[in-house]
Amino acid sequence: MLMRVVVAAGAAALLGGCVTAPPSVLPTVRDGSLPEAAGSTPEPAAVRSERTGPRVETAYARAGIPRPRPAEAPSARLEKGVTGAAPAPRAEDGMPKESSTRAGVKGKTTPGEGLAVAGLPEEEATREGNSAVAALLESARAAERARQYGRAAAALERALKVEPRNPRLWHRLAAVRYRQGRHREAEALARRSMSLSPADAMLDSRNWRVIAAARHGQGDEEGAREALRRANAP
Amino acid sequence: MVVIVLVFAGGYAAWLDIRVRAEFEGKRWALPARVYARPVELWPGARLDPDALEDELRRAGYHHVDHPGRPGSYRRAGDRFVIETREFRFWDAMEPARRIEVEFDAGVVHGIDASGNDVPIVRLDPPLIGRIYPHHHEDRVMVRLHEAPPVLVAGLVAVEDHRFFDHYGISPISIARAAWANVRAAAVVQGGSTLTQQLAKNLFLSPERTLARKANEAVMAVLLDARYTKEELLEVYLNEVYLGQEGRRAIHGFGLASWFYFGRRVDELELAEAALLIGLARGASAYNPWRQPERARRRRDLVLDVMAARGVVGRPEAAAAKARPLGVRSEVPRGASPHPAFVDLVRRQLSRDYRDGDLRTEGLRIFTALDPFVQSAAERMLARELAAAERRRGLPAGSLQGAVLVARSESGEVLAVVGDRRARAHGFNRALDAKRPIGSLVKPAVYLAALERGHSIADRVEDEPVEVRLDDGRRWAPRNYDGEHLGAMPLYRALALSRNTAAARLGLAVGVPRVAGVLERLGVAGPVPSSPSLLLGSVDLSPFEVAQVYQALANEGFRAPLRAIHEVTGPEGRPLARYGLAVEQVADPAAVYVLRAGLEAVLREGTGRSARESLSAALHAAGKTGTTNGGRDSWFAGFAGGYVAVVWVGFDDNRAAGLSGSGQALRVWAGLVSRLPVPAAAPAVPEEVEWHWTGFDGEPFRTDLGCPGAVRLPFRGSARLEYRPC
Repeated sequence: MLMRVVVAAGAAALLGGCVTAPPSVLPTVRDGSLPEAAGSTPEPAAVRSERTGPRVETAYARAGIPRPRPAEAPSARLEKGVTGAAPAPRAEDGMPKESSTRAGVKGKTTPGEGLAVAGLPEEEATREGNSAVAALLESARAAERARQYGRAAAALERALKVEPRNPRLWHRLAAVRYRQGRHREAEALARRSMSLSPADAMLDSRNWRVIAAARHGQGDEEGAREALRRANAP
Repeated sequence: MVVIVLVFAGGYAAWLDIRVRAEFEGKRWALPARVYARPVELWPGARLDPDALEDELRRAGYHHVDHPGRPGSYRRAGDRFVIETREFRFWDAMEPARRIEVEFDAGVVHGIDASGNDVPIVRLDPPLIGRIYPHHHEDRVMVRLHEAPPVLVAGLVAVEDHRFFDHYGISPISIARAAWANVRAAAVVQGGSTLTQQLAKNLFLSPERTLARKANEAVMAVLLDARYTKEELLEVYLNEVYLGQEGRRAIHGFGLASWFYFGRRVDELELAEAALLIGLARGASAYNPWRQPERARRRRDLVLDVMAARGVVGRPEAAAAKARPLGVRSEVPRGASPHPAFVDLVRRQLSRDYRDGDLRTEGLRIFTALDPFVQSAAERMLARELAAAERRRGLPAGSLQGAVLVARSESGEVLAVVGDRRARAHGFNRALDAKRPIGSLVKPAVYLAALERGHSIADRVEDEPVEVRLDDGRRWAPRNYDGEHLGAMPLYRALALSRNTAAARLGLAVGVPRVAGVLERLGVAGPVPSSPSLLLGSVDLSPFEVAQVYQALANEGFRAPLRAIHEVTGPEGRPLARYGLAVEQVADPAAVYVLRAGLEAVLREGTGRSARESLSAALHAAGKTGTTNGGRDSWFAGFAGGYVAVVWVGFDDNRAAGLSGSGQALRVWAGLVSRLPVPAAAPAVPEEVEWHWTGFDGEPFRTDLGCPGAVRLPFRGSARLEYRPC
């Protein structure tokens, strides 16, 4: 009993009404080096162009598709996390904001100017009328309106599981990637969309607009002009 | 004297206080990372076998009952399901718990109804397929106090320490009362330790029973009680308490225990189940419901009596609960992943972004692309075909080994990884680590290089001896598998029949560095050595690397990096990282389309024709056999209906055993692909490609349907073919 009194007294003297925090059980995840995850993969196509030689160039030209543009390697790219030394900006919904959207296009000049990317018509992307795709497109649109591009991309990727060869879904994903400032990926996705829609001039034109904007965003003015010319070709 | 004692005791208490705070506040639960398979998504029109859905529900721990009421239960009547789904927080959204009715019609989801409304798409909570454990193999599922059912918490307090909310960490009255109760019952029915003391013991002290430890425990309990609220202490207790063991895995906390014993979330527990778990807190081993069912039942009933006596539940409820069976799973659930090779890939892809320690202890939730249906089909097929091959060839049972990797061709999502014929075996992961010469699997790169250089798939190539002098002065003179030379033939036929000298001639004409360049573009981590022997596959690749190359071919020249992981969240669903869909155009789609015709010919009339019967023509399956010198390796890589799959079969000791790609690996591949839910759809024809009936007279010419020897082949628009009627 004496022990208890002593201990309690000692404890009381020491603690003196401190406010205590609940035990922390939330881990933090280190992600300082996240984006570097992409760096270790092989170089793609065009970086090797000296090897493949000029004839490949003609192959692409003949195919009506410009050569893949020089760019860093694609890999299972990690989209930004939210914790760590250099915290990425977070959207209100608590989603990691995947890269900043520095390509807001507004106020830019020349080829980017007047690009419809900033307000791509939200036309029906599912011709077959699949209700799952329609519902997912609707959530993607809502997320885009709220500038939650990570969430928009996630919804579009789910829709692509339902209809993996729907060129309109690929096109929309390209537009979202563009909004995320991921220009190189935007261009590749727009190309994928075009390769799945051989005879759709309207969609081709939209895809060329995304490509033009993406090239503009990467500082490739000449390439952007060329893409815009194709977008406007009859 | 009294002052000295006080100062000494105060100093000691201060030291203990520092320890308590450091331990308790710095306490990071070692939470294993939990790895989930892809969720099942249901939408009207989805191709899904009702039996496959039932398998999925069982995998995700759904209980088959007559009247589904609790989340996590379902009823099936033929093609109709009623499912009470569980709430689940995905990376992007919360899926609510709801009651849905799903109707199938001929293997297709016909409609989904949630309380009278059509639902466009439903995502079920995904099955857990593995954990990445802390080094000491402690496993738990965090539970917040407010998530635990009130009856569990109140019952725990009533049984273990009913004065918990009144005492200061220790309770002499309880000790006396417990002693009296034990004497009266002539058994240990109550412990004298408060919950706080038990917590102090578990958190800070070693298990030895000494008076000094008892004293420290008491002091620490008082300190804990002074420092923290009763609710905080209770929450830590709920998660810390040891409740069972499975092999090396220690089951801690009620969150995991309810999964472990009942296959339910803690908030799905019924009274009888909660009472059993409360009883285990006193001795998880002594009252183990599988090994000591009778003792466990008596303990549970005692807990129910105490709960009723203390007014936690009414006597009728307690009596009804006592009438229930124990209700534990039929067998002890295994903590080890059923698919260790896939989890291995997940861990490697994560290790680029997370430290090992964080991965093991931070309770990350990892959402992967694993498709349990594809994974189990791949496992079964590999085991079955290797055993059959051993019987056919008189090899000792178990001597052959193999690996399978399956991915979705449009997105690069890895659906299945098998790294050993015993799929549950941990160890050498052949799908990722067995780097073997790829043999003829390289040939599509040779032919693609030729097509990109303007060749057509109908162009003539000589299947005749060839010899080149290498830089080091040696001579390279490849031979055909059958030792024969078949003379002139069109490219597609030379590819289908896997003619070595034809491929070598073609590759030398196109240029070995160009072939190496194609491989690097398609996804081989370079540099690929540009020696002529590359043309026959003298480059060592793992099944994973081969799958990346064939993914780009399957996806019309758009490479999508193979990824096993979709998203990573924190333990409570906070999004941390997302591995999104990305593609890169690495080859001309028209050239890849034309190449595909040659790869389809492999399975129609070439080295893979033995699988023709098991593969429907509507699949448009395409692929390539690969065999290495002396039959050391048997490969098949190919794609059909949105899947790309690679199979390797061989011996770990690399012995020459007369295997061939058209033998063992092809059987596994064809058996697997024929079981996948594959939509029958021909690949879309690129704009600049036209199909022609083609005749051959040394050179190809355009002709008409029905002409003798005419075959239908795709040409890029640039090809100028003379027309000749027959």
